Amino acid sequence: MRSAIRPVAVVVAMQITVWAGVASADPPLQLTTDGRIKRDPVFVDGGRAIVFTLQSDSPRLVLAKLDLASRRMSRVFPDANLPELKCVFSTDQRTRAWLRITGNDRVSLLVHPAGAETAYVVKTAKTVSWSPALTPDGRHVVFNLAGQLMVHSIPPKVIRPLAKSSGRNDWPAISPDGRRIAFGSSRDGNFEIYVADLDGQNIRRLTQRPGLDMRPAWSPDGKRIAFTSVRDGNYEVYVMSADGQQSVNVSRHTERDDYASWHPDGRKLVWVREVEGRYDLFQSTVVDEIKD
Amino acid sequence: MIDVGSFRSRDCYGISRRAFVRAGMTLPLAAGAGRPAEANVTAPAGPARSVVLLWLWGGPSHLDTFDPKPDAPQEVRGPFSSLATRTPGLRVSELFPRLAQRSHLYSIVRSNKNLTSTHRIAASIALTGQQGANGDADYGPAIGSIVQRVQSGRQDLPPFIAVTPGALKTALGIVRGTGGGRWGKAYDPVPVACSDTGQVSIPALKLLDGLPTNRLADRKLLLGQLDQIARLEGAAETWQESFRRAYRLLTSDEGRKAFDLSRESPRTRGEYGRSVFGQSCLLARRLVEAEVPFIQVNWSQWVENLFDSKTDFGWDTHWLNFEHMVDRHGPILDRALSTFLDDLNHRGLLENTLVVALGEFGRTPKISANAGRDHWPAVYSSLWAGGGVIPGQVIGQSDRQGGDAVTAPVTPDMVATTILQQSGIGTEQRAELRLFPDSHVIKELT
Repeated sequence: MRSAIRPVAVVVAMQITVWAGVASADPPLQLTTDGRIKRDPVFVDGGRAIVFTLQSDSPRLVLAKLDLASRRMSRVFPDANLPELKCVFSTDQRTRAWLRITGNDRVSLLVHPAGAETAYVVKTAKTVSWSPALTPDGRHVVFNLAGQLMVHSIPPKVIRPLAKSSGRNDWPAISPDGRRIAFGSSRDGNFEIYVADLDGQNIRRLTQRPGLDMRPAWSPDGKRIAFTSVRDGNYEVYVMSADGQQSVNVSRHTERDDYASWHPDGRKLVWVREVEGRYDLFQSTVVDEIKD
Repeated sequence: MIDVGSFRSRDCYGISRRAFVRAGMTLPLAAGAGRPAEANVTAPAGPARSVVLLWLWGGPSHLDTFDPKPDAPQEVRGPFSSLATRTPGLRVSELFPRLAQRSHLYSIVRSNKNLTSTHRIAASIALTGQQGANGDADYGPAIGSIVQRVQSGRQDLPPFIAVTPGALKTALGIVRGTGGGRWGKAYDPVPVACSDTGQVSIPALKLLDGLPTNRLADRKLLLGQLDQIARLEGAAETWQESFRRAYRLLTSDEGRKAFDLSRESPRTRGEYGRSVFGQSCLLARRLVEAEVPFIQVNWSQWVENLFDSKTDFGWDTHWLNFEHMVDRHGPILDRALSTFLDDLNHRGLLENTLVVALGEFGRTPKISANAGRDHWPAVYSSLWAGGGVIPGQVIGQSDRQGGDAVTAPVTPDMVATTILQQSGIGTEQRAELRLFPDSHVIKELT
């Protein structure tokens, strides 16, 4: 059934010459109920599970996996005794990268390449890496190092700056075709979302509104970008066209909505929603609102 | 669910006599009979029946919280914009929309100053209101200890409670100025831990593993055992008092109720947020209702923002200042503190509860090469509400880049003096206790 619907959705999307917006089709579906702080969900296993970061007693942060059919939650690394967070995957899930808090202001960025027996640490000096993103082919990881975006190639294990700029740069997200990168930057004032080629060229600003815009996430077809904005005075999830021309609030909720991520079908989003102070994963189907 | 050590309010287990003895030995020692109130100092009557000190351990950036500099250069201003509030002249970081809407409930001091940029020493100075002697070894009593010495509160609850994940520490050692100091351990706070799920525990009683309730109720039997042990230990008086304080908590239904967050509705618990700090603030509100004179809520045990398995996200954001502000610190503080003020206000408690939120210093105006901000004691901000404080004000001013105070600085002794004054410990009583003879209150606040 799913495979029958998918091509239709793609055809509809292709017919839109001016993409105008999306809206939530139904009230968001609550996927977890424990209420503990969560962040960075990503769909895995073809959309049948979600890996995310979960507040824990000890260690403080763990990587958890939620099986959507059974709603059973398990730890990705059950034996980890250091806080770990922000796990990302290549499209085939054979390469993954994540963060591990290893000491006093020490965060290691680990990469486990496809086919390798073990993971390795990208950066070992006393620097803090943050917000890793993998290219779809798993050959490069982009991350925030001291406010600048860096690219690490796997192999040959070299690091180069993506594009140096004033201000802070964070939350890299690679487009599904692997050619573009969306990210947040304060180069023009407060945090806005920008897009550039993966070599750092052709940087364009996508958001123009007052208020923080951050955490871009590409839709699987590369036509939309979900992101978090406080432009309405509250953390909300928005979706905009990839050129930034149009955007719409898809969460419309009085508490915090953050860390949006797309389902592989391109029609559903998962994000962390705060409801009466409890943080849980919610999933929402978004549909095109205006078509021409 | 309250977890008094491993004693749960709804369960009971067995305990060994040895464990029971060791438990008593771990408690803050209290000299004299009953509680450690001082006979020659009159019980006070100030506008603040309770004080809640929200200790933002690590030093929040004043520029990214309550003293934004929207017109400063980018390397100072940072990536956040600012929000107008209900108070003329007061803008706060865009990360605090709820607090912005409630500025009529509090005043902001923007000219706090500390004397050093070393966490442990700065914290001790901020918490005691004075410098130590012999380096970092010898401090006067913490503000809460002074209030404890004079205030009585209810007999079944300690007068100075620290809601904290653990003793305040940095990677370099423990903070010394958090309790009785030169006055002795009798005036230390009773530490209580509160998890993000609202589980409350009193670590000092951890070793009372499984004490059966029938033995708990048999006070005479326990005190008899205690006397025997105390004689053997040669410290009968202090040891006995330490037990009494623990015993009061364990055996007083009313006392225990104050610690039981399960008595709150899920909605109320949620409003404070599912964070250690949020639930700790809710516990503080319950302790205010129970008339505890001084409650200190520590944001974290460790000053460090990230610290291997000890990570509990202190405010020491040399790295990832902006990332953590937007991910955790901003939303958690905005929600918890706003709800706390609302809750106190709606219950009619804010009028006689002084709420002070501050850390040991601010952070560097200029963003570092590590994309964070470092220690900055020259000027920083604090939030004051309730307890006779005039709300809706901005007091003091920092310069255009938040580098120094351009008005008279508010020093740690002034913070301490103001809190004591609002607690009813006025000039005369402070003189009797030989405290802060040359200091004065922050006049604009009262």
